[in-house]
Formats: sequence, structure tokens, C-alpha cells
Amino acid sequence: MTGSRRSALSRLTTLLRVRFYRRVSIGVAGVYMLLFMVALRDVSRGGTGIRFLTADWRRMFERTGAFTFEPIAQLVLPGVTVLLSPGNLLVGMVVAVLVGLNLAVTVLAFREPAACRFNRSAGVLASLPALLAGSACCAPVIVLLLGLQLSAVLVSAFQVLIPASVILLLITLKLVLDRTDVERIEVEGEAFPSGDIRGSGTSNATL
Amino acid sequence: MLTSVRTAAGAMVVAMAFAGCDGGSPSDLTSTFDLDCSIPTRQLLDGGVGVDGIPALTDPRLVSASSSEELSYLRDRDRVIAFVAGGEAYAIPHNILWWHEIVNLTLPGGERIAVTYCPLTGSSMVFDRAAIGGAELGVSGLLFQTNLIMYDRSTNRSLWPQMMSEARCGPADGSPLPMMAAFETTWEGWKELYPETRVVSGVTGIPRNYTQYPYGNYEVESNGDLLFPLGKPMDARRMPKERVLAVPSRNGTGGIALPFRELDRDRGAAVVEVRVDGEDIVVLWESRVQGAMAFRPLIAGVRHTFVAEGDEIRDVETGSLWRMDGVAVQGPLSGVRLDPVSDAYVAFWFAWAVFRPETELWTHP
Repeated sequence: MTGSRRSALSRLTTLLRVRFYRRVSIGVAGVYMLLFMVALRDVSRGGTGIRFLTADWRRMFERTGAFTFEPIAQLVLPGVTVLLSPGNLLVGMVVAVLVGLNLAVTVLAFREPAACRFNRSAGVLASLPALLAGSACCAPVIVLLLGLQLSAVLVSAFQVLIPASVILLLITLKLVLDRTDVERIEVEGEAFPSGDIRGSGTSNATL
Repeated sequence: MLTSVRTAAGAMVVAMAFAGCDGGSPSDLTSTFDLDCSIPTRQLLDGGVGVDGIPALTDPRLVSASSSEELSYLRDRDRVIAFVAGGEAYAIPHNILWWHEIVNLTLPGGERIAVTYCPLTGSSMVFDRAAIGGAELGVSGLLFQTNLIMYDRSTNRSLWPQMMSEARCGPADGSPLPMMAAFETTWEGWKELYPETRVVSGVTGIPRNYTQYPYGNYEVESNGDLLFPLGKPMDARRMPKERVLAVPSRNGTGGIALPFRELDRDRGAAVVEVRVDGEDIVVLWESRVQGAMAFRPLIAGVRHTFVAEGDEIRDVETGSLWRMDGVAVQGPLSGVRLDPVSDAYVAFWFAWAVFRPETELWTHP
């Protein structure tokens, strides 16, 4: 197959040239990023008036946990407070983008199994690390909600969730892309010729 | 597929190594401090935030109670740790301490103190830092029996479990950290007692949402869930997170606990006379400020008897009117201040009972 000779990055680029999958990626990444910030309490309820406060920018390198960092600015709006931590934003964006891409290929597997050289349900594989990544960001919230107790083992586990999630997301993304023939993605009922994706229309892939 | 599994396994190992080798990470806590301890080191738990991951404040901006913008984070029902020093009243809200746990203050008279609060044990304690040469205290990131362990920034090696009021690890092991008398009341109550009080501004230089309690429903009185294992069973005589005014005995693991719900049974003022270490102590409670404190009932060396009448506290000898902070505000003794028991403090019942298993429990007769 032509697709098998293409690199995963090239397949990804091709996939993202389809507006539908691009939107899925961006949408999922955006939602994840918001949840990530809420889970870290960088976005939280509470606040009166409108204020923007800054702190010493050098604190951005100080850690508040294994992969969480000090905020250096605070935006207070009526009813909501946003803390701006460059470190948290960077970590969150990396995970969010990977979750978005994984979910996009999962959707691809479900919508267009003809383009994938694996069972449709195997696409779920790509979403599993996304769930793990969800746990990584929301660990404190999950612990509080479920009334769990943080043993030494669990504390250590939470400390590696973020890097573990990133690595697993990369692996599953590559695994799925390696088994995907992006040339066979059908948009508006028409298969694309190799290397030419028309991403202008709304994807209406046929199964 | 086997290759992929191998790759994944390898990657996990790399990730774990990455997380573990970074300097200052939580897993480095045991090498940061001197763990030559007089408490079981296996009971020291890594809280997962690292050294100073919860940043203590040092000399934050203090404002008047009328500073509405900088106090917009504070609601009347929020609780504060408060004290009077050099004729000035100070309030350090729990809202600030949820996020910082320690506030190091240098008072105008030169006294160096540390106002501390452990959100996991609900323990509000103020320490006199003169005993450690005025050194600041920081949050170690370790816990003992789910209680905050502080470290001093002079040795940087010794560990001070808050509810033990002394160093239990490192070069300072066994050194006491004397407490300073303080009250825990509602902000509304403290403002009423001391309208001119100074209070920590919400602009601390460390961005946090001080309106937000970060531990969900953790401090609900009946919630028996703990974030970290206690290593011992909880004393079920009271609800786990019920606040008690605790008066420790000087030796051993005893003392007495007075639960807030028992003190508030009559929804007014309460006076309770107890004995600790053979010494008479009177506990004054006022429902309107939701606060209690223990005092020595001696005025000029003469034992006085106090009684609660509705919302008021009076002494039998002169009929003077007293407040829960031990100040007479009306009558012949107006202006007199009772000597507070500086070791008394407020904590969650479960935590007090774990640290002081031989404690007596006072209940309303």
C-alpha cells in the first residue's frame, strides 16, 4: 500500500488537512486544556470585580508538585479566577494536543474503517492513554471525589502519570497512524488521490 | 506488536526515572532532611508536593478590616487565627493558610512568630520563633499522622511536626517550639471583638484563589475520609472533623478536648472548668464568634469563678462582664485580661485523639 511507506507525521499532516478531523483535534484539545486548568485549580470559581495581578516572573520555574508550577499572574473576573502559570500551560498544551490527535484518529477508526488496517474497536486503543492523561491532570480532584487515600505508592504513581501519559499517547498515536491509509479517507463520498487531501468541505465520510 | 510493548515498557522506565531524578522533586524529601528521628520514620509520608511546594508566606501585607478590595476574598463566616500582641490585634484567615500553611511574621515589637494551620488536621497553632533564633519555618512536604511537618530555615535539616510542638528529626530533635496564645474564631466574630484588627491582604505576591477551599468536602465534620493513611484507627467518640479546643498536658499523651458542638449546646456563651496537670483552667466559649479559649482563672493571684448567663459571661466575685478572649469589658474588672493557656489550640477531633490518645473528652453535663 502507498500509505504504509509514508511516515506517521506525514499521515498525521494529511489527516489534519481534513477540516473535520482538524476540528475534532482542536475541539478535544481545547476541552481537555480547560479541564486540565480546572483540575489544577488554575481556573476556579470565585472572584469579584475585574483585576489583573502579577507576581515575580522568576517563580514560574518553582514547582508546586511533580509536574505543576507556580503561577505568575492572576486574572480575577466576576465569579471566576484564572491563574496563569507558563509551566502548567506548557505541560497542559502538550498533553491536550496529544489527546486531541489521539481522539481524532479514534474517530477516524470508527467513521472510516476502510482507511484503517485494524478492527474498528481497536481505535479505542488510542483513547486509553487519553483517559490516563485525564487522571494525570485530575489526580487531586479524583482523590477528593472518590475519597481515596494517597498511599506512598499512589503518590509516586501520580508523579509519573504526566510523562507516562505523554509517552503512551505518542506510542498509540504512532501505532494507529502506522495502520492507517490516509489516502483512503473519504470526504464527501470521494476518495482522495495519494498526497492530495481536499480539506475545504465538511467531512461527511461514508462507511 | 511485541516491539511496541517493549518500546512502551522502556518508555515507562524512562518516564519514571525522569520524574524521580529531578532535583527537589518530592521523592527527594528523604535526602533533603536529616531523618535521624525520634518518631518512626516509616510514618513520615510524602505529601507529593515537594519542599516548599506549598509556599509559606513571610511578612505578607497586613491591611485594616475596612480594606474592602484586598479583603474581597474573605467572608464573614470564614475562620481566622487571631491574636493580640503589643496592643495590636492580628488575624490570619484560614483562606490564606489553606494555600500557604505557614505565615512567618515579624511584629512591630520585634517578636518573630509563625502562624500555622494544617488543613488536613484542622490544627491552628502559633509559634514563637525566638526559640529557633528567629528562623523562618517552611513546609517540608512531609506529613506525620497526616499532620503538617515544618522545617526550619536555619538548619534546613530538622523537621518539626506541627502538633508535637517540637523538632522530632535532625540536629534540633527534641528542641521545643513554644506556642503563643491565639484564638480561632470567625472573621465576623474577630472583627466584632477587635474592629481595628490587621489582617493579611489577599494580594500576597503568590497568585492563588483565596476564595476557594482546595480540599472539597474534606472538612465536613462527619467526613471520615482522609487524604493520607493515619496508621491508627480513629477515635469514634466524636465526628472525625469536629473542631475541638484542645488543652494538652505537659507530659505524656493526655490532655482534654472540648468539642465545639458540646460547647455550643446552649447556643450562647459557655464556661467550662477543667483541670489539666493539676491546674485549674477555665474555658470560655461564645457562640456568636464560634470560638473558645482556655485561661487561668486567677486575677491578681485570686481564683475567680465564671458563669455563663445566656450570651454573657460574668465572674461571680464582681459581676464583671467578660468576652471569650478573656477580656473584661464591663464592671469593676473592666480592662483586666485573663492569662491564656498558650498551649491550647483548635484541631479536628480525629487528629487530636491520634496525637493525644490518652485525652479526656469533655461533654456537656
